Amino acid sequence: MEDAELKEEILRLAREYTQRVHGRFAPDALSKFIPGETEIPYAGRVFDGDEVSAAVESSLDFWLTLGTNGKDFQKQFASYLGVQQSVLVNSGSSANLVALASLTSHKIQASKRLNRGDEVITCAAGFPTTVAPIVQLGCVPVFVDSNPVTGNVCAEMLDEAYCDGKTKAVMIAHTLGNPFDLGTVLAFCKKNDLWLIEDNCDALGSTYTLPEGHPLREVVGKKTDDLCAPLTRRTGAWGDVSTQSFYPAHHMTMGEGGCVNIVHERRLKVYAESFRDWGRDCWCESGKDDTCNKRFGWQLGDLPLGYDHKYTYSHLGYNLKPLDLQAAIGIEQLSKVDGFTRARKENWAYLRAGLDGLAEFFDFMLPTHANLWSERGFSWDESGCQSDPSWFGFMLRIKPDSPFSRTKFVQHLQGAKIGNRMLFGGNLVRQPAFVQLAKDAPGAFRIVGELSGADALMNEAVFLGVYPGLSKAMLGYVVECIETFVKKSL
Amino acid sequence: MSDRVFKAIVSAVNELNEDWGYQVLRDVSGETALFGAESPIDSMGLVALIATVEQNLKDAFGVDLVLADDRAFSKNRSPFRSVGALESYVEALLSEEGVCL
Repeated sequence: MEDAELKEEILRLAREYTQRVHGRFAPDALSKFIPGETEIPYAGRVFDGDEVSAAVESSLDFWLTLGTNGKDFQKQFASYLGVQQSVLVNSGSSANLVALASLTSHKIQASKRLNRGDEVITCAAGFPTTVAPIVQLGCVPVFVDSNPVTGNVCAEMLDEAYCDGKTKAVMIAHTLGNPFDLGTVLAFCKKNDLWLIEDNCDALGSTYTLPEGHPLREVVGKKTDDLCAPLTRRTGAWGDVSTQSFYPAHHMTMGEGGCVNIVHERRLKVYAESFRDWGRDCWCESGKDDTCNKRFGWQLGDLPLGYDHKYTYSHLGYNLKPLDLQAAIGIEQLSKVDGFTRARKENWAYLRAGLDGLAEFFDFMLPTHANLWSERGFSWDESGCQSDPSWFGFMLRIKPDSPFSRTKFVQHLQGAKIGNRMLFGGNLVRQPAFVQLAKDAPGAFRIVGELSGADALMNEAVFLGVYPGLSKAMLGYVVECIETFVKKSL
Repeated sequence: MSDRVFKAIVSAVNELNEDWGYQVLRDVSGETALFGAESPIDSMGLVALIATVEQNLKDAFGVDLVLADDRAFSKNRSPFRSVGALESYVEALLSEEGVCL
C-alpha cells in the first residue's frame, strides 16, 4: 500500500471509530437521553469525524508546533470575526495575558503604552483571568459594578472610574455571550483615548448593532460603510484587541486554545507574537531561519553586532503557543460555528419560553439594551443600539423573596443531573486571591462604588446550559424539573 | 508610479514614527532608507512597519497583500531598502493581483 493510501485508510478508520464511539456527541445522535439518568452538561464539545480525522492527520504529519494549520486557522478566524489578524495561543486566559502584554511594548509611544501603575478599568463580576493579567503586568485594575440583569459592566459608571493621567485601558468581558454596552464603552474610550480590550471568550458569534446616525458611526465605521444603515459587527471586532477561548465549554473548541484578535492596528500582532513566543525579536515562522536575510547582521540592545537573531529578545515574554493539531481541529469547528450559534440561540429561547411562568420566582437575564422579553422577541431601549447574543449559558437569578434559596435550587438541579454553574468568580474582589492582594499590597486595585450588582450576581445567579449538544428532550426535562421544584417549594 | 501606494507607505512611516520618534524619518521621500545599514529601524520596527503598510494597502485597494515573505527577502536587493524600492515592489504585487493603478 502506498503512503497516501495508507493515510487515507487511517483517516477513514478514524471517522468510523468516531461515529461508533463518540456518536453521542454529535447533535443528531441524542436519542439515547434517559431523563434523570443521563447527565445534562452545562457545556461540552460537539464534534464528529471531521475533527477527529483532522487531528489524526495532523498527528500523522507530526509537525507538532504551529504550522500550516495554525496559519490557515488564523486567517480564517480573522476573516470570520471581521478583524485585521488573529494570533493563536494556548488558552483564552493566555489570550488575555498576551493581549494586554502587547500594549506594554516599548514599540508603542509612551503616552499610549501601558506602564506599571497605570489603571485599567474592568468589571467586578466575571472570570478571574480577565483581570489577573492587569495585576500580573503591574497595572491597577479598577473595578466597576455589574448590572445584575445583563451581567455586564455598568457602563454609565465609567466616567466615575476614570482617573486622568492614570487610566490607559478598559478590559471587560461580554458576559455569558451578552454583548456589553459597546456604544457607551466605545464612546468613553474614544473620548479619553483609551485602549479597549474586549474579552470575547464567552461570546463568539454574538453581534452588536449601532443604529444609523449614531455619533460613533463615523468614528468606528469603515470608509465603505453605508452611514444610512445600521452598523452590525461581531463582538470582538469593535475594540482595539479582543480575545477568544477554545476550551471545550466554549462556542467552538480545539481542546485547550485561544486567540488574540488584532482589530485595527496590524502592528500589534507583531508585539503579540513576540510576547507569545518567548519575547523574541525574530519573526520567522516556526521551522524557518533567516527570513529577513539578516540573521547574523543585526545589532540590537547591547549585544554584539551579528548576534544570532533567533536568540534576541526584545520583550520579556512567555511561551504560549498551541499545537498545530489544535488548529487543525479548530478549522473544522470554525466551519460549524454558525450552526452552533443558531442552536445556542434556539436553546436559550426554548428555556426562556418554558420558564416564563416562573417569573414570580426568577429574574431572567436580558440582552444589553433590551428591556423586555416576550415570545415575539425583545423590546429595546431608546438608545437605538441592539445586541444579539450567542449565549454561553442561560442565566437566572433567584429573587430574594422566593420561597427557596439558591443553594436548595442548585442542589435540586444537581440531584436531577442537570449541569449548572454560578457566574464564574462572582464578585471577584470577594475571592481569596483579591482579599489577600488587598492585605499584601494595598492600592493594588481600586473599587468604584459599592459593587452591589456584582454581589447580587454572586449571591443569586445560576446559569444552565444551552450548548448545541443539548436536545429539546433534555431542555424540556430541565424546564419540567424546575417547575416541579418550585411547586414543591410553595 | 502610484501616488496612492506612496501615500500608503508614507502614512505607515509617519504613523509609526509617532511611536518611535526617529528624527531621520521626519521628511519621508523615495530615498528614505527602511532596511539596512542606513536605516534607523530595527528588526521589530521593520516588521511592524510592513504590517502597517499591508493594512494601509488593504484599506486603499481592498487587497490583502503579504509583503514580508520568503519571496521578498530572497531578492538580491531587498524591496525594503527604501521607500521607493518598497513602492515599486508593492506596485508589482498589485499588478499581479490585477489592481489598476
